[in-house]
Amino acid sequence: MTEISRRALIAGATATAATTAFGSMLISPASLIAQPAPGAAVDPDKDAKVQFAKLSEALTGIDQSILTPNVDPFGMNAEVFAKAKAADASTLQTILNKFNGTAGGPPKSISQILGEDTKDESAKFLMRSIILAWYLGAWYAPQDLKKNFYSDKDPQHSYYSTRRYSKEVLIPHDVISPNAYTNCMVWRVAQAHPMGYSNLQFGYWGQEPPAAEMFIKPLPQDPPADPKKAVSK
Amino acid sequence: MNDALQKSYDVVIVGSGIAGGLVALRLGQAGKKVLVLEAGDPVSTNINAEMDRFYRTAAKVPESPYTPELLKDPATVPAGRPTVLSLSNSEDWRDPSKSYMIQTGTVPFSSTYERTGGGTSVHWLGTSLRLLPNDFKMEQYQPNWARWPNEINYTTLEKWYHEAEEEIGVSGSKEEQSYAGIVFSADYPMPAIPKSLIDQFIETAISGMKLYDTDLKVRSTPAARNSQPFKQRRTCAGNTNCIPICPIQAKYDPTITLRDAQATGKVDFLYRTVASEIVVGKNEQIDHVKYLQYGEDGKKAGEGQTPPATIFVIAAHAIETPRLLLMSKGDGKRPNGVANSSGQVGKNLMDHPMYVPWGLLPQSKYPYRGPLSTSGIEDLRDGAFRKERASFRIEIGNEGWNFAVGGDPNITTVDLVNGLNNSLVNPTYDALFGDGLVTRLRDVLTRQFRLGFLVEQEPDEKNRVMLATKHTDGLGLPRPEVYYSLSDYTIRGLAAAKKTADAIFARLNATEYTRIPDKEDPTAIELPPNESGRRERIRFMGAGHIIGTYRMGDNPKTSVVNSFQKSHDHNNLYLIGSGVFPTSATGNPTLTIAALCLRTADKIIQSLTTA
Repeated sequence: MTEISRRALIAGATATAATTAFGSMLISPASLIAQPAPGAAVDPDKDAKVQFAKLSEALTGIDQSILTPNVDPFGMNAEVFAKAKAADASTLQTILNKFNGTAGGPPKSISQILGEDTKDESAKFLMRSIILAWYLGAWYAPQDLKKNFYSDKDPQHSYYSTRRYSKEVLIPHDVISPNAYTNCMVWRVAQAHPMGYSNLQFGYWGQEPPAAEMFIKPLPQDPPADPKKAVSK
Repeated sequence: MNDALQKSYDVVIVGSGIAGGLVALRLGQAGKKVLVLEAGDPVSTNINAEMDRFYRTAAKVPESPYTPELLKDPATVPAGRPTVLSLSNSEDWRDPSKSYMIQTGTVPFSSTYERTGGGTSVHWLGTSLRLLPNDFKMEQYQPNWARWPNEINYTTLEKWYHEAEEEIGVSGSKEEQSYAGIVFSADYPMPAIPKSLIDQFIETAISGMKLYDTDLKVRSTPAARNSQPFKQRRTCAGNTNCIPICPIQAKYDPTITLRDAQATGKVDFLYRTVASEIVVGKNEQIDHVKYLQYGEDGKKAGEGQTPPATIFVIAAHAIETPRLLLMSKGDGKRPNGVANSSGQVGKNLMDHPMYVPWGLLPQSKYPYRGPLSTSGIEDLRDGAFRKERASFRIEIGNEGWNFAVGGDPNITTVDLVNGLNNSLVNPTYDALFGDGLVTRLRDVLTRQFRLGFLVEQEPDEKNRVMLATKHTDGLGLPRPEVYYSLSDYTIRGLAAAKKTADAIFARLNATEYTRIPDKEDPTAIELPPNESGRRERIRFMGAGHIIGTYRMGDNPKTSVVNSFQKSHDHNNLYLIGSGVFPTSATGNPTLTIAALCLRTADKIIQSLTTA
């Protein structure tokens, strides 16, 4: 990529190309998150956010390049990271250390981290909050998820033993931001688009959507340009 | 946002929804001076504020983009209205600190409305069906029901339907909509919206299917939704958000008409202006309307009365219009209110009780795409069975279980992440992540679908709007009190709807997930015993159609207005909207509201011109 086209991308003119899949998909009409000015203070969580993106890929099943594209005017990774850190910074750090192998020892899988969870299952519910934040653009606090769950291992404290069967549970939640709503992942898994936000073409609904993988995996890479060929100016 | 007033007007209109808006537009176009009073907030200059509100709200109910704020005690709100959230909890519908309407019936009246610039149709779906010829002639099936006026029937209304379709912009296929005696003098202004994958799947599956001696067909639904650029508005891009708001106004909403009315230069608007009394003068003519005003802070800001006007039009929808008429007691001289010599004002409240079954199709057909609904099955709307039980139309939903379970995809996603089973797709309480979550969630979401059965409701005097005696709103005005119930005739219609739903689900090879409500659920209806003797229980919902409370008729003793929606009692008073329908019929009411109002506007212009 030449310097010129990278600047054009940052200006947002062709941001769509950086996101994914067929045609243009999810450009939020809400404010584009500005890129930091050159010389701005270094983000102390910069590395943690990179690790967080890798963790989120394992939790959500959605490729990292979708969650955090190279050019990222949406900044959803930063938004979800901020929510997770505000909810339970120490548990988050523990999870990241284990997942990335930074606390000594090999990197652990999600299942292993769950297996080593504390008695109050703080890692389990924080990770569930993170998954739901990515999928739904809304924050379901770990303590609210913990109050409303069912477990064969703990039927005495599980939701279904204390409420009538047919009383539906509505777990309180807040939308993280319009940005998070219009960029969240559940719509990709459904091969659709956020309700209330579409830049698809008239009539698309009468035809099959693109294949499932196109929504959650990166596009195949173009082969690199042949350096021997002359580039016309 | 209030215009400076003229010394006098030709017409004062209370209410800026589709009914008031269309009359204001036609009068302004004819050079008449019009003043519109609107209880709610003005139309925004663009819809960014509404879209922002919508994106941010967790409960994306129909009211969510619009003001006033939800969840405030209705006693403190100056121009309140019922909300979906106040109905959805089994206790809230009877709690005056939650519910704006004081409900005293056996079941909740389950439809809501707005008090805002543009009215309730700001969040309508856009469905623009014409009523059937036999809808206007129910006396052939039910000789005791109130009749539509002789001058109102499909033949006389046909040209007004066409004019309404041209004015608001309806996409449809005349070929597909020619059934049950419906004929067209001209084409729809725009071609039909294409069918969704779900429509196509159902169409193939029910081909050749017959029920109640009728062939069933999937037909694209005529809709006020652009299938082409129309009147400088964009083509539908399938935002799948018609309710509550189309982000690009490809769906018609009455704010468009209000802007056109304003552009005539003849129409003035007073917003945050709540009509509080209609004052009758000499010769039983309406003299003026008193009003209360409030500020952006919601506090009362003043009061006044309208300048002199020749004609008065009340277009406040079918709960607020009777409320205003009943409040207008003339210092005790009119204990029954204005326009009420028949005693029918507020009575015969109807809705289309709606049965919504949902399930999973045998294959992925990709909901959450396209308009919320693009097709329906209309063939069961008429027949000799209307002697025995209510008829219905069938709406096919494109929005998965979003409407049916009240908040999907969230409900299902939370189930599969947190090990719950509200959606009923997770009976083993699996809590998934990663690839396992993607695969399982995709399988469920891409196969979700729902139907909607909109059942005709029998008119019943007992179902009515009155004034609450002990509950007022933020301006001190008595809130509406509503008694609502479903008759056996209507419930037999719901039973037939359930039977039809079961047959269609079987034909589709679909797996049903419709929740059976608790006995204690106020919207639970016990159906009559079916063929195997079992009594099934289903939930009904409101369709958002509020009908019947100031009905039209030829006999002033038993009706409130004539065929032009003019009061029998007051020569210069018109009461317009779906409150005039004597029967609820089988189609969504909005296009018929529009047709009747264009006919009324024409009449008003004539009467002003010859006066």
